[in-house]
Amino acid sequence: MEKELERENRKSLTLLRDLDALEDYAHDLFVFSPLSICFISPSGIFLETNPAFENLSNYSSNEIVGKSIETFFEKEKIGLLLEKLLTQDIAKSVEIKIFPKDKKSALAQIFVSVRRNEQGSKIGFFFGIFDLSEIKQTEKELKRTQTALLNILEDTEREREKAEEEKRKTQAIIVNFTDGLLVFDNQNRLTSMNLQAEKLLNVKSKKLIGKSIIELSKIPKTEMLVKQLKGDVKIFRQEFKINKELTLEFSTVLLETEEQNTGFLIVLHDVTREKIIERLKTEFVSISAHQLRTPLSAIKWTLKMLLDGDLGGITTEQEEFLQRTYRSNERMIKLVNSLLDVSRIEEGRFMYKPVLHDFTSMVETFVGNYKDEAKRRKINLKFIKPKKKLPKVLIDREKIGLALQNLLDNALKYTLGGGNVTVSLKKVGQEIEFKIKDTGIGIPKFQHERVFKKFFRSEGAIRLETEGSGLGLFIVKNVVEAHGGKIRFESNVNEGSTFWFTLPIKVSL
Amino acid sequence: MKKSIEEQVKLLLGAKGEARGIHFKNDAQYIVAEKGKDGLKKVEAQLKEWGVPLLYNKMRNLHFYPIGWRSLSLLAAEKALGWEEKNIRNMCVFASSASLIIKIYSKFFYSVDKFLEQAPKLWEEYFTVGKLVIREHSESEKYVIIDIKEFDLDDVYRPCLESFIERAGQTIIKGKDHKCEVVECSPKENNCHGFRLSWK
Repeated sequence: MEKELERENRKSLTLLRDLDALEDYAHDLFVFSPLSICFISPSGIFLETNPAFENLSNYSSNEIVGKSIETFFEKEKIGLLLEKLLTQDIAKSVEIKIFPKDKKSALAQIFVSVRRNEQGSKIGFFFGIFDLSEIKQTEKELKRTQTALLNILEDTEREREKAEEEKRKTQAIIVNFTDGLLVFDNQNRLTSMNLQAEKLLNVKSKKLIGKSIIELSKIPKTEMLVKQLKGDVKIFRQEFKINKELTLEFSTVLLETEEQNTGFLIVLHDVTREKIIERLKTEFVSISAHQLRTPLSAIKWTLKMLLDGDLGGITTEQEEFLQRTYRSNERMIKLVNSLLDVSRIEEGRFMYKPVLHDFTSMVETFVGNYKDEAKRRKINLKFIKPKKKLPKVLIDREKIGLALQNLLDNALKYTLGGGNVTVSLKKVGQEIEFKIKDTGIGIPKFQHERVFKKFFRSEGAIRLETEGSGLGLFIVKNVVEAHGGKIRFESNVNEGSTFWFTLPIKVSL
Repeated sequence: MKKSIEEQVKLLLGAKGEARGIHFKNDAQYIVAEKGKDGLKKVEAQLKEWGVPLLYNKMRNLHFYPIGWRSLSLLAAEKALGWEEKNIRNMCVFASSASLIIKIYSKFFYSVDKFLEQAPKLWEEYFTVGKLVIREHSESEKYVIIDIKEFDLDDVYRPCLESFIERAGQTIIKGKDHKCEVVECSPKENNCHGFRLSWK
């Protein structure tokens, strides 16, 4: 009997131990669960909850147990849910508002399972509560991002439309532009050309678009065009003849944005009409000058004869008048000669006959010829001879003489009394450099660009000397360039001007 | 005349009957939550000083331990942690919420009548002495009177039991402002303690 009792006692103790272990297991699982789990009585009172729900609700377990379910959840919805659970044992994914302590309401998803006893009576509910706030927040953020993306897309679309519109406008400008335009990309491929370009070059754009510069250089009708580039894409108003009836002005424009080079543009401007007018003008000037020169020469010789007394004696007063008339006539002849020179230059008839000359002695002679004039003007004219003898150069003495004459004339004319005019020569590389420096009135900066243009006279020059054709420097430039030299200058108002020109040292042409 | 603490301890250590380990486990859980593990060590040290070999972590929920330890655990918490009656009440409210036995009995919570029918058994789950009797119950007047008979209820455990019943009432009976107060037993009996639970 005692042994029986002992056995029963041992069995009870084992059962108790197992029960304890089971309780520990259930408790640990309940505490561990990251999902909020609650047990609710059939009357809707919290009987038990786990730490996950404490976190979600911000209430302690002590505060939760014993409270009505309506304290924590949206009253209306929870009422409907409990009603639903009268007829069914499970409710899934019910979205409901939860009211945490001292916090804003949050959205949760509830899963409910009805708990029944052995007799099948409802003894409560298990609630699994899933916090949707983070998901909702993410959803909100996704929506915001989606809206932002849609806005960006909308903006992009608007910008695309704008760009499209701009492109259409640009295309319209290009197509309808009165000059011929050829657009090249940064790979030097022709991307578009307008109707005017097609007309001027007598080509069809369809056949040329997409071709590279090299390919275009092999097509007869575009070969000339490519030649103008000479590997340079910075060309401004360079003339070239397509044929006898068509002269074009060729310019290039680099298409650069802030960050990159997107290609370049060739602008073809038809200057045929301007060239004809220019030619007619030159012809007119040439004919007029020729026609004027004959009577002017006759006047000159008649006056000379009168002054020399070949036609009888004259009074001193008469001589003075005749002298003045003679000088005016000389100026007129000089002007007419200059006009003829310009005409010849423009018509390409300014013939050069270069011969080897000692340029140093030539300059020295010319400067010497101006000594008296300088003295009369009280100007200190000086020629600084090079220390070493300079080699002879191939020059047309007459034409270079014309250039020296014009430069010396200008230097003396526009330097006030007491000033200096210094002429010097030196060898620079394979060139001889001529320099004439004066302390004259100078040329204002804003007029520098036009100095070598026909009929240019600076503001100060007009004020100081009413006479002067404005053709001298145009002739000088053409003469120097015809000899393969270059001319440049520096000038400041009231400080003076310095002109340089170079002549290449060549012994034969 | 109020007994000295030594007398109280002596009396409690000599009490007859046993209490389920769940009491002590719930006490320990609450003390740790409120005062940390150090708090619990202080309480254990106090008990040791009184000669009570009570080590909370070694106890099991469903095992039985000397009934006097139930009140000694509360007394030691008061002494070691400087707690007042208010703290003890809170600890017992927690015990009611966390109790495994209450969880087991929660299957009867679907009906107040059903639960009250089971309540005497619930007492037996906790103690090997004393018995719980439902003296009166009125759903319409919203009260229930419970008598705990043949049980030595000391001054430390009384407020605890009161709070325990109040929280259990909150859990089982739908309503608000649940309140538990001590009432006299009728007829007056030795070792009988009446509790009236009311709600609105």
